[in-house]
Amino acid sequence: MFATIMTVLTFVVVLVFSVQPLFISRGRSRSSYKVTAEALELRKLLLYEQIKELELEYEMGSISSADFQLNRSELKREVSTVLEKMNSISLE
Amino acid sequence: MPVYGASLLSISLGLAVLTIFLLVFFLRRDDDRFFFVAQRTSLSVCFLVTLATVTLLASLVKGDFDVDYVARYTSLGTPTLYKFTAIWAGQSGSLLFWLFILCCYSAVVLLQNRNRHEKLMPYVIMTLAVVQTFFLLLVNFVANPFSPVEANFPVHDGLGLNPLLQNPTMAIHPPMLYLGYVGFSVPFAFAIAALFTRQLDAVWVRSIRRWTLFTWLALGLGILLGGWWAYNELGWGGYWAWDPVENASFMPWLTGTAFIHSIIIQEKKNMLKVWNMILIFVTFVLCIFGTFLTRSGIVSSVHSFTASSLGPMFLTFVFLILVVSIYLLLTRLDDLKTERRLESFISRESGFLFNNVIFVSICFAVLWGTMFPIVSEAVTGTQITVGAPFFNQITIPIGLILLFLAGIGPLLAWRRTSKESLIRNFSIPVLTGLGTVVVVMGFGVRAVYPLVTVFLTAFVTATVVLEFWRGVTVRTRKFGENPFIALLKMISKNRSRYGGYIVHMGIVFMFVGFIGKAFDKDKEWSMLVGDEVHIAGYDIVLTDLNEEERPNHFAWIATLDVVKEGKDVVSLHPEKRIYFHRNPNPDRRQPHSELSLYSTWREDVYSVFGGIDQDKELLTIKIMVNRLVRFVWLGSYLLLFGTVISLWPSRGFVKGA
Repeated sequence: MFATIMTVLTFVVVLVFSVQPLFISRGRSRSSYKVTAEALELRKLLLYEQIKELELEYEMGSISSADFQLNRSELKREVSTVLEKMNSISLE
Repeated sequence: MPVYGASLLSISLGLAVLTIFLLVFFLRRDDDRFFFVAQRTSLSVCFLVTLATVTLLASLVKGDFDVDYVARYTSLGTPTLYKFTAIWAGQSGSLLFWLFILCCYSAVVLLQNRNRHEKLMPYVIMTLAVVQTFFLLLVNFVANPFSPVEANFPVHDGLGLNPLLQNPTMAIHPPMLYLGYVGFSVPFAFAIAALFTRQLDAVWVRSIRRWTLFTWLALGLGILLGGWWAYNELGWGGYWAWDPVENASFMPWLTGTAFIHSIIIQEKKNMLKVWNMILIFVTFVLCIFGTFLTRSGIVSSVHSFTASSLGPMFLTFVFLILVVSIYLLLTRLDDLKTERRLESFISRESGFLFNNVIFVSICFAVLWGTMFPIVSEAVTGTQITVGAPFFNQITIPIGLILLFLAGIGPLLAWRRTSKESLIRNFSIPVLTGLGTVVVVMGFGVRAVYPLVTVFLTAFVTATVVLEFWRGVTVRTRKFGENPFIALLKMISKNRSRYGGYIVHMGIVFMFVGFIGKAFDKDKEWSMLVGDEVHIAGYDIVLTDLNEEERPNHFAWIATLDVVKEGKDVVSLHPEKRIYFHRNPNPDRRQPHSELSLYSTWREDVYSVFGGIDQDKELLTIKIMVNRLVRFVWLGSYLLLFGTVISLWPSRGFVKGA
């Protein structure tokens, strides 16, 4: 008997908790803008991290000047492409 | 209590299925309300499963012997700690525990990403709900931990927990393994979500980096604790036996390690997208497959549960995962294409790629060796057992290549490495390695494998030390910091990099410990009190034999005085125990050898009381002298320390990571 009461009680609590959102007004659909912006922002941060890491390795003497210049210019080019994309989607 | 527990599991199953339907409905109708309800039903499943787990724990501690599981794995004499740990001692309880951990992880993922990854989350929740549904089906219909005991009389006491499991390590080892096994569900769910949504950039990889690291650490620690338990409890003197169940946990760890390395390439260079997907699918499938191997009873192992009907269900689930994963992968191949190619053979990218190939090769070799007895039996009708020599022959050379790669990785630059950089970076580590080999040869070591391992461990150590030293030098020069502050700040600003190096040092120390295996000694004697034996420079005297009646066992305790070069070193007290000694049925009494150990950095003196002839008071004593074992445990601590550093969020930490 005790088990049955407990089961019914638990079920009611869970049910009330779960169905609550059904009584709010219909929400907006998910934006593809936010998803693209999120990806670009992350890409930008990852590229900044890589530039910092590259500079550290160069200062440590782990990579030659030629390797450093080549990699840094490539990373900077990528950062500017990402920034351009971010600007263009924010204008749209 | 049991009725309540069983009801909770039934409601959970209904809610898990409802979550899947709600999410499908949401994706078709694009109405957020269904998504929010699905989030809540999913959280409710987590709550109910937690409640069911607590209910079973309460039954175990209280001793509700009308529950079959409680009667099988506890008794009135079982110490309270082991009443708790009994939850993973048997099939159905451990399945519930698996599910409980999955629910905890799912709840964390849900709460952590409430306002993040809007596109990915519906698929992530759905994938986790599918896995939950599978395990809920098992605990509801195949192995229900709340099943009543099948007896037509009141049961007043249970059978009790296997004495081998009555060890503090056993209170940590299985949960750790489970945290690892189950944790890979999260990266798997994100991978599936990324494929469904075609959002295949670095976002999903960044979202699961920490999860993967944590899971990988838990699985690794679980494996190492298993080794520790085997070494300190089983009494055969080793920590790894290439047992099928051990292998089952090692395989996903290997592919998981490959994954941890290769996602760095995807994050930084947007490469290896297909490979990363394959790796996480394989890792998750291996986790489920490992659970299947342990539970189906198809392999014989000291760690496996008894044969059960769970096997076909697990195989079907593995098959379904493979079908869905492969279908998604093939239909998204165009989106996974990478714009970049490897520019040079001598670059960090190729270093990572080789490391991946090696990890996967070891995994394949282990899988082959593990499954060969089953395959041979299916094909020829005769089971051909594959033992440790096969695994050692294959994995030792490949493992050494891996160690070499761990050393050269930090020395290579991204994209390509110039000749000058190569010479400058390699000269000190190579010379250190060669110098160490010469020193070790001076001590008379001539065997090839130990010497190669010595070279590589010194080589990798030198590369890691060099990296730290160069980093500290830069900071002291640039900011005028003292070396200690510079070291702390350098690590704190580059946690994943330097944490990774510390993990590499952990692996180096483990390899140092593995070298010791080549020099182990062991011998067994029949001894009377007063007898003296000799092994590896030690004189061992059996000085005393005592008996003791304890709450849950009877013990004979031998006293062995260990003497080296005339000096007393230690007294060892190995025991022969009989658990359930008061049971009138002699078949139910369980003998167990409790070993006694003296450990130093150089070697362990390991004593095992194998048996006793009570009439003649003749003892069977085995002594092993195991070299360098402490380095394996030191390596484990470093592995833990390094991973925690990598996991610790830095100030500039990217959200979602």
